[in-house]
Amino acid sequence: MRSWLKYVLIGLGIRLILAPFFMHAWDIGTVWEASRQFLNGEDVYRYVAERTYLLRQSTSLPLYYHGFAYLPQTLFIFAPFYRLYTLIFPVENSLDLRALEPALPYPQIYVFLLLIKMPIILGDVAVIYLLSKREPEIGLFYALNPYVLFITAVWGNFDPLVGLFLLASYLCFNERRVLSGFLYGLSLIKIYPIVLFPLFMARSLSNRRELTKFMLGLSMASLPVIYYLIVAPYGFLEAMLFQGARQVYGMNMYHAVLSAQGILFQTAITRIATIIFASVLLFLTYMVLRERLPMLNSMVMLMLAYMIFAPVTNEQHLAALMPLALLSQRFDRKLCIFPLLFAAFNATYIYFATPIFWIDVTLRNLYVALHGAWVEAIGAYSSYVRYFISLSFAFLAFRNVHNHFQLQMPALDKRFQAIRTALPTAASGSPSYKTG
Amino acid sequence: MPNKSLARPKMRTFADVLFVVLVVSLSFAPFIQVRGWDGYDSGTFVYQDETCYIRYSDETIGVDKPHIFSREGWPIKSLVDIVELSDRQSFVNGLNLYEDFESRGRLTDDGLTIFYSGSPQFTKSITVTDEGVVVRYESDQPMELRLTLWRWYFSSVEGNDYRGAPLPLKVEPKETLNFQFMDEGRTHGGVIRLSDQPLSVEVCRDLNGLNKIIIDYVGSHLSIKIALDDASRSPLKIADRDLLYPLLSMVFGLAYLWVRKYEVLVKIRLNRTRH
Repeated sequence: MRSWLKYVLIGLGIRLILAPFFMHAWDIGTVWEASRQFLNGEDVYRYVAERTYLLRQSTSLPLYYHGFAYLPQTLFIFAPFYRLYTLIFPVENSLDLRALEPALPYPQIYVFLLLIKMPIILGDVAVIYLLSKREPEIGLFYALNPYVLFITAVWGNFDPLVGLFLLASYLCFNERRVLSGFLYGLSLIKIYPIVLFPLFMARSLSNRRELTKFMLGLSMASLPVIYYLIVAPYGFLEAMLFQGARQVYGMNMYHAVLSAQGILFQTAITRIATIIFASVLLFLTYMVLRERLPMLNSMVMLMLAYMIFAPVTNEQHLAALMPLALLSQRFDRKLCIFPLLFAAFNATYIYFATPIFWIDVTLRNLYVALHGAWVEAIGAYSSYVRYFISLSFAFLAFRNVHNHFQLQMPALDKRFQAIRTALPTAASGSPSYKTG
Repeated sequence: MPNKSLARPKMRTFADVLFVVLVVSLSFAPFIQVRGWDGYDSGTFVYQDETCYIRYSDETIGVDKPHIFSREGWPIKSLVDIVELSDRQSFVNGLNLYEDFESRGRLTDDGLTIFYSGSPQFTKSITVTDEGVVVRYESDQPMELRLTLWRWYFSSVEGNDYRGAPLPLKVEPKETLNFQFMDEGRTHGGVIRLSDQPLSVEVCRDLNGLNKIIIDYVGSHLSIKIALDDASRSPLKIADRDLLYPLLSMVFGLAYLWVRKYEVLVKIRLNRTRH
């Protein structure tokens, strides 16, 4: 059997086994809620905007409803699979994953989880294929990587899909610019790959024809966005604003701020964080363009910079970078340990196993006991542990950004340059300072 | 084109140092003490100033509504638990505030106002004045209000520790109640001022001491002002935030700079030995 096929089957098998039994209830609930509303012809974004408005109205705090705040292309990916679920279970298909005590119907929940995660799993399979074709070892690494498995099959977040689209966009950037633009447009289902937009633009600027092609592809992928901007701009923009304006959060160097006074204070810090983030991004984009770094290195660096400096970076975001980063020889694979650890002290691992524990009262009581014991054991220290993990990630990632700049031999002093020119044998035999 | 910028050791070091400075600076953010009210999306609200810290609806349990603390100590302040008004132990017309009412908090110009939905409709507002924390209960109609003030433990209420006294431990109902408690070996005195004379006041105890003051009142408006006798107002004190964040960031920062320095040396040596 061909190695790529073997790895694809291994990766697919593991994901299919895990997928039905685990979930991040809130995040899966977001996709479920949006898919249901979308299929019912409701305005998904208006709902989020209204909930946000009510939340703000009732508290006078700049709060956001954590609902569907992704580009509408996402709905076209997930809604068909939710529709399939409702076709299999036309009557008893009610789910309420966003309730404080989620009601899980059995065995429907297993089918639902398998189906709703299917686009992500298929995306992973495509990534394994693309990587294995280039470097079998990398394909296997991705297929078996606990972090990727955790995000795809356990958590059920769709950042690996972003990773697939970015990888595919990069791979066909030189030869099929329209397709590259289209795939990049699809990667924007989660808005953060927007940090790569100036890079894509700058790399296409030299050739107006290529730029037009890229923009054409991007526009085609963005048709649903254009539709919402025309038909329901208010709700759409309000909901999308969430991603740009939400308060500092997640696995990043701003984590200490979370223990500060409250949301108003955190909002003020977020403004500073946004300025820092924007400045770093501008500087780094300028640098990678000025230094004419390879496209892959540039993309990895900018995405890493996002992970380090963006005000909100969650555990799953690295999954969007993994496929690309693994192609880069300079990527530090240790980075994926930290989000995996972070989740244990943030959502806690047991939270992901609710579909298993919710089967009956005994298991549910066990869940409560285990969760209680975990919180009792680490509750008082969890924020420090999370900060520790966040800093570990930030520093390692920052070091990795450095590593993606090609180290070159410093320019020699003119005197030595003269000697070098005079000695052709030495010059031709001089070693390159290429680093791994 | 040669890589002139970050590849240069000086530039790289500068970027590293800048990054470490940024991380360390951010770790001090919890020390910034902003005076006033704030909140969290969990429904928790907090107030803090130089001398006082109030928490409304703790994130995990959500029953302390509000929990009033004082800030004591120098240079690092610690929180001194004064008293907690518990919704779980408070009733309006026999209905439990925690179980039988839906409530939502809203920040207003004066402070925090809690709206209870149900019948009767009433609000609880919490404001902070120079003289103490004022918790005000207001209803559109007369109500039978039972409020419970918790503390583990009061040393005495109205100068009496009620040791050996027969139950129930009744206190003469009046508009001002004094209480004392111990914290870190120091005795503090506090005062509760009611806007109206209550119907009755009772003190409860468990095996370790006095832990509750129950106030019964009938009317449509009652305000309770709670203050410490000896609250100091020195603005020089810093907040009581944990030092672990800056400590961690500094250790990480220094370790990172050390590793980076070492890393560069190793690379240069390797290149030189090889060629």
